[in-house]
Amino acid sequence: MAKSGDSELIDVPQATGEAEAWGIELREWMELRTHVFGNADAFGDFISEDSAEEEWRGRVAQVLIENGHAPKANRYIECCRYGVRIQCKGPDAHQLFSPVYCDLRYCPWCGPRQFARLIEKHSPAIKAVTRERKPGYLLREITFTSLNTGELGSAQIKRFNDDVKNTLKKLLRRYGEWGALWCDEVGFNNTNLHAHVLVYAPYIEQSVLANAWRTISGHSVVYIKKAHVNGPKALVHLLKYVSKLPADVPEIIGQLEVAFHKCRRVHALGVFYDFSGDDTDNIESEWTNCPHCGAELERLPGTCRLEKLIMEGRTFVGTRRVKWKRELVH
Amino acid sequence: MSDEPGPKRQGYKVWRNPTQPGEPVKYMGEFFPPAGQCHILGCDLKQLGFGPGEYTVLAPPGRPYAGLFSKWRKVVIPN
Repeated sequence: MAKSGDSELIDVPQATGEAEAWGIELREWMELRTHVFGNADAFGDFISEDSAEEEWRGRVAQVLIENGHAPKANRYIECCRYGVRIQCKGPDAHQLFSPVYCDLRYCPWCGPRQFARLIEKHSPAIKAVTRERKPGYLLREITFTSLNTGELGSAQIKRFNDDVKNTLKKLLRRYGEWGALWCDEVGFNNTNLHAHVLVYAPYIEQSVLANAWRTISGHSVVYIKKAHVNGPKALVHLLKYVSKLPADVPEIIGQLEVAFHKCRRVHALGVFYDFSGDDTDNIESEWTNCPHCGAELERLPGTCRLEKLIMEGRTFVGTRRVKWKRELVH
Repeated sequence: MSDEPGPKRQGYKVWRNPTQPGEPVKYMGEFFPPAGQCHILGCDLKQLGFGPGEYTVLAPPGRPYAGLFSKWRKVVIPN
């Protein structure tokens, strides 16, 4: 068994081999590792208080494993329950820790974090167009829908997003300074893929919109209305489903995570793309130096239950974001 | 009564936890609780000849330990 317990670096073939030799599932291998390397008895009770969440996460992880996403499965199992030890290199050797986050789209903890980051990223553009509105331009909401085939895959989602982009460009490219921001969604516990778009543009006739959508995508249902709230509230309304789970069945959550692998959920076009803000979460929530003395920080190998890290007297130092994770604002 | 064997019972899988950093987890095998007893406990492992230490036990499907769904249990055999 990998000794470090590092959530980002598991040797999948080795793990699979060990799991087979021991007669357990790969998901159970991951659970075993988190129990052995992260077991905490902080509250004087052997029974883990988050066993219901462990079961939920295990069932999602099982679907991810079956679809070839074992490292993601491991991150999902450890998310927000485990952390890494951070050591200060200064003379006082301050002891710190940072929680592990999976940053997956359909994680009950990371979804709201992604929502906050998306609001931060796209608010500046929305505020700008609200403050200096061009004559005839308004914030409007468009909903593009697709035929529910009962299945959902990456290719289908990518094509749907291309169709939304091409429809918007076809309708709006003759105008200057238009912007669109959309979020892919699915119906609760089903595969009904649709997109809510917040568009800043002149008036679009419903019939023109429907014709363009039908011609480009082959789907027929689309509707437009004036945004019922203005400015940043419209953005919150658009993105709210990023922070909510679209299913209460873990296997469906796993299938959605597989379907959206390498697919963005949130897209920006026009001025909303050009003027999106920085993701300040990358800059401000990561400590690169010790908050106590300013010395350099070093990550120690392995992950451990958060309760145990707290019991060790360690101080929380916020998210640790490796380079590839910084791109994950979707 | 049929002579056919019933469904194969699955036992409790036991791993010995490392005592020092860097030491691997050791798979000890699959064990069954004594007749009439629900779960494997520390005293059962001791009776099986396990030495003092900390063990992680995986309950078979359908026989979780107390708690909502807990199938994992840490078992300690004291010195």
